[in-house]
Amino acid sequence: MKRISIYLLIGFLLLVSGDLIFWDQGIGAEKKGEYLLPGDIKAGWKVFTTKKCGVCHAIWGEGGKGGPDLGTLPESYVSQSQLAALMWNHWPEMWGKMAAKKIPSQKMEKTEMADLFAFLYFIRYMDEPGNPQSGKVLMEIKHCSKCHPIVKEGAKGDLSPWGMYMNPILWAQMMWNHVPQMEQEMKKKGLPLVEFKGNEMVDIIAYIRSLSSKMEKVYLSPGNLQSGKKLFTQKGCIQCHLPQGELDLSKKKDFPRTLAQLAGMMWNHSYKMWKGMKEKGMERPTLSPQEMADLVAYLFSTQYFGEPGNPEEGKRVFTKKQCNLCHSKGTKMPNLSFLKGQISPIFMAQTMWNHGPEMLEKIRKAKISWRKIDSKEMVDLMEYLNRGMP
Amino acid sequence: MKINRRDFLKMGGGAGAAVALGGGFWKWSQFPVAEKPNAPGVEKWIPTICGQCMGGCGILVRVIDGWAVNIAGNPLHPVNRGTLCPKGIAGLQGLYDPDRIRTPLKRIGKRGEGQWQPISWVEALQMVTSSLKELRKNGESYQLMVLGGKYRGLMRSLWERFLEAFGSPNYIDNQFQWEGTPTEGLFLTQGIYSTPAYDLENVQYLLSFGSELLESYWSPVQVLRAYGYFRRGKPGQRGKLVQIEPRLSITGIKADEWIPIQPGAEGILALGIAHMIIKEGLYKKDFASNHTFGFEGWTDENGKEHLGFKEFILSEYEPNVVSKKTGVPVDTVIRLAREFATNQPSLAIGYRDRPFHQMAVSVLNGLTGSIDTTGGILIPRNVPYQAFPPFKKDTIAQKGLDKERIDGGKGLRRVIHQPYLFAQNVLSGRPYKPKALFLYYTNPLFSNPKPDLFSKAFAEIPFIVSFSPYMDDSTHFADLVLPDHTPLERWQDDPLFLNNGFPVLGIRQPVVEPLYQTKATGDVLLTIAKLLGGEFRTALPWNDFKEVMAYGFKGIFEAKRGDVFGLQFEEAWTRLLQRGGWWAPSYKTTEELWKLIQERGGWWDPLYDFGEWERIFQTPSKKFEFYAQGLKRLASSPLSKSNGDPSFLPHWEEPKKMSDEKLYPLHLHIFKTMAVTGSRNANQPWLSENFGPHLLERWITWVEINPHTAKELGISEGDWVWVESTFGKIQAKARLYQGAMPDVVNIPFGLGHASGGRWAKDLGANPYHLLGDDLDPLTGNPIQRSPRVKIYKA
Repeated sequence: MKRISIYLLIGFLLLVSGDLIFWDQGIGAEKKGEYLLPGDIKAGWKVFTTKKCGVCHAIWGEGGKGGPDLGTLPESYVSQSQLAALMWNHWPEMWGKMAAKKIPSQKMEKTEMADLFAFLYFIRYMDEPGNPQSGKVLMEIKHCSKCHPIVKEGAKGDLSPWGMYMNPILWAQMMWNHVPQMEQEMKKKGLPLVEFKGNEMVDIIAYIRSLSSKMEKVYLSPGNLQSGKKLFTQKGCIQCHLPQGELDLSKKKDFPRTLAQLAGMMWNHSYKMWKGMKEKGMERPTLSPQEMADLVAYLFSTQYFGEPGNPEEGKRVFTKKQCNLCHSKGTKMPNLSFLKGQISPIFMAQTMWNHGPEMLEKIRKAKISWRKIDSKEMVDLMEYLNRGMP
Repeated sequence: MKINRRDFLKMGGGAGAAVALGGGFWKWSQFPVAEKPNAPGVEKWIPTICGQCMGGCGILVRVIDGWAVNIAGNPLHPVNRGTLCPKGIAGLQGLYDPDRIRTPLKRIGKRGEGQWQPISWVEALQMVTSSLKELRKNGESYQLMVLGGKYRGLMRSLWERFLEAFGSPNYIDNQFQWEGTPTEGLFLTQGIYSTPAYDLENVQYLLSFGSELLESYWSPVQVLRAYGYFRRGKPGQRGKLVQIEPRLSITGIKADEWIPIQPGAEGILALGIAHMIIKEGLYKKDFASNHTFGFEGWTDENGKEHLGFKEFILSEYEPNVVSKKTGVPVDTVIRLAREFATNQPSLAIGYRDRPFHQMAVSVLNGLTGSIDTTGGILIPRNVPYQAFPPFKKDTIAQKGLDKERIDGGKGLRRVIHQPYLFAQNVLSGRPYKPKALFLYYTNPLFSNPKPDLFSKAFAEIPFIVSFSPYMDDSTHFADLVLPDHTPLERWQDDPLFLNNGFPVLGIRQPVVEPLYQTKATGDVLLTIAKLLGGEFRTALPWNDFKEVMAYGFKGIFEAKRGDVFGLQFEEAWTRLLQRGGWWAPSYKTTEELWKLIQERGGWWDPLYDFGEWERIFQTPSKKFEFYAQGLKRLASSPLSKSNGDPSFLPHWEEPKKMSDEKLYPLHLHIFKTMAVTGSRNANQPWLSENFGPHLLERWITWVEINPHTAKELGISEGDWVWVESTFGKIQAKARLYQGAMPDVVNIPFGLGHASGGRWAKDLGANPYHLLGDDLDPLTGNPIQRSPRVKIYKA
């Protein structure tokens, strides 16, 4: 079985190009195209709005409170199949709430579901608002305040001017370029090396922003994945981070899931990297903000893999979840073998969304319970269906 | 051809009248039959900005074969999202007013006789330029002055630039003192002399001290949309509105509770509420300690101790004291305080009362921390225009600019414009008399009490130029009229903000070719600058106002924020991106921005930046000031009865008694209606037809009297009565109204023009003629709710 590689487009890339961009290496021929449903993030937001998802679900606190805030970061990375599984499990409850709120169930086109997926990924790629109080504490714990004390605006070491930079990529870029100088100062002062974990960088950024009373704000234009890919080579990153090599970033399990986490990772990584570069006799590359944005677009795009499914396991899932009671040869319901080669997480989500209420009703009448499904089961089930239910 | 009101109404007040009104109809009807094809005309819908009031609504004008025939709301414009108020719908009547000034006019009779000679633009500009050159030649550049009305955007910058290059400090706002939201309260507490945004959508408890929210707010459609959301937009959270004012207005009718109060006593009620909030410890202590100044007593740099707000308010404004002055029961004062402090977010909003009374309302928001917070007072960012290029002032200009402004112009008065003092100073000749006066977008002879003061002042000025498109009361006294285009014929930018603080830039663009020989005043100023030559060419290098706009808009592009108008989901999208640090607009170049702005109607930045305290508090302490420290530094003369600490704390002063209460037993309360807010729209029949919808009154001025009072006075419904004060008398139709307090009579403002064409002249009466000149020492404006009147049958 060929490995399924789904590279969901990174939001800002799509915003710029509006094109349908995907990673098409290693995709099974029989599924080509179907796993690569393009998503337009802005269109996804429109779907989110017009289909009234926002009545129950907030994004960063803006919207309804009936369901979970979809802007908050999940504990771990969610693949497309996981997302499809989450939706499947969530829907019976959601339909009930929708009925109670008299929100009519609206059918969704496949492109709409793809757009919605793209949007949901994108939104989680951005950071939640940090906690300035925690950031203040971290400034002490991480010894930042030794060089950057809270001083009058404009004094040496004053970090408040950085508060105008609204995009964590700008922080990543500045920290990247600033690292050698900081490293020297830390050595001089005998400060230990520090690392930033989880959302620590988000909190520090939030704290520094809170120091800035200035009105100026600097935003960043979305990056370009293709430019980022070129830069990855031009700036020499590829010399260490060869695809399929030991330091292949796409295989890095703890690759950051948000931009601020990325800024933290670049800091954490810098010491080791400079050392490695020196050993290889490489020049230290500097990056402009836009170059950093492009590079980040590329790096994030390498992270959105779906795990391969197992058709044999999928067959067991099909039975275990009692799909076979309705969907098998000789039953009144459609035989799903006609879906051969058409299945993707987005297809699954879209079909289940449109078909779900009717299916739920039939399941209830047949006195069968709605069977929850986990992401691995979903991947296996999809693989089984994609092969025409052999 | 003459057309009277009856004929007009016969022509149909419906949609067809939009075409039929004024010159448009006549011109159209003059086409020979053979040239009137049966085929449908070429139709266009052109986005622009309504010019009927300061609301800034986006409109789409339907244009068929070059004629504007209908107006609808622009669904993309965030102020009104496709909806309009009656004024907006009537907008074509301003364009097609048959009494519009059609060409430059030169006075040929005596001032005010109304004898005019049409002249060419060449001659008119020659007259102005010669006069201006003469002033500069004689070193009298500072004696040119401009009285400017209420408008927004680059046109104001252009006037200022013109005066800067010319050498005059005399740009004075005559912005119809009671129009708009209160600004002095914000100035005293937050150091900002402009209108704040009130986040009305998100308020839970709205305490209105006489604010005419639902009938004559500065942006009526926006506030009505907000009101709908405030009531029903948040499931399970219906906002509560309490209206405190002497008259049962539309706002009072729609409110959950109307609290009648003696006119002018709103401020002391606010202080009574503040007293109870402090006494019961209901104020927001963290806000008070972190973001305010003067709440507690304090010691200045010279070691002098000063009285704090808390101590002052607790000692002076006990509920029983307040109750006696206001007529509001003690229990109500206590209940309002508790409700206001415990139903968050809560917001107090007032009217353009005396500054310290406004401050009394503002401090309620300070006590509950409703500043720079959701559902509170927000300070919008400015639209980021590109600054005008630098230029070198010549010696004449520099000398002129060093002079004092005619209305004062030092310290505090540099900030606050005082048209009333201007008129007084012109008469006294101190500091000097102007030799030329330009009137732009203002009608001081109508919109100020004691109009004879202004007409006498006008008589002292040798050369008066008006830029009005209509023959209004003040233009009538000009020497030269250079008629502006109407809003539907000209380019103009319109920067404003939404209730939630988002900056918005609407664009006004011509929807039709100018109907007459008029010119946009911006273009005229630039032409005059060219004719004056010298440094004017570098100070004002543009060929027309459209170029000025294109220049200013480059700053919008450079700011790298916001986007052009879009559908509602796009608003949230732009905000979502910006919250994540991204900016991905619909345009990539300034040219694209310019093009899209014209297509969609404008640009905006749908994100409010909370916590930027430098923007929020521009006071000396950089905090919310319970003690107006900024005012103390600026004030060069006593502003109150004494110059002690209470003069700089919110306090209440009883109005000066201007007349014998036995002879004049009734308070006068002047109000505005939706149709004719201020002095602009009386020339539009549809609006005069809707002047007083709650009493079905139209075309006339009425006086609302409590039925019991009327009975005592022997006045019946519909009688014509005289309303008389010590300063004058006007005739009005008596309407018995249960919403009038027994000792208060209410009269609408808007009619009573001495000029303005067939649909405005000599219709109704102007209640300002009843007001005196008890001036507030801070603003120099007459005190609004102090006059008393008597009524008798005419």
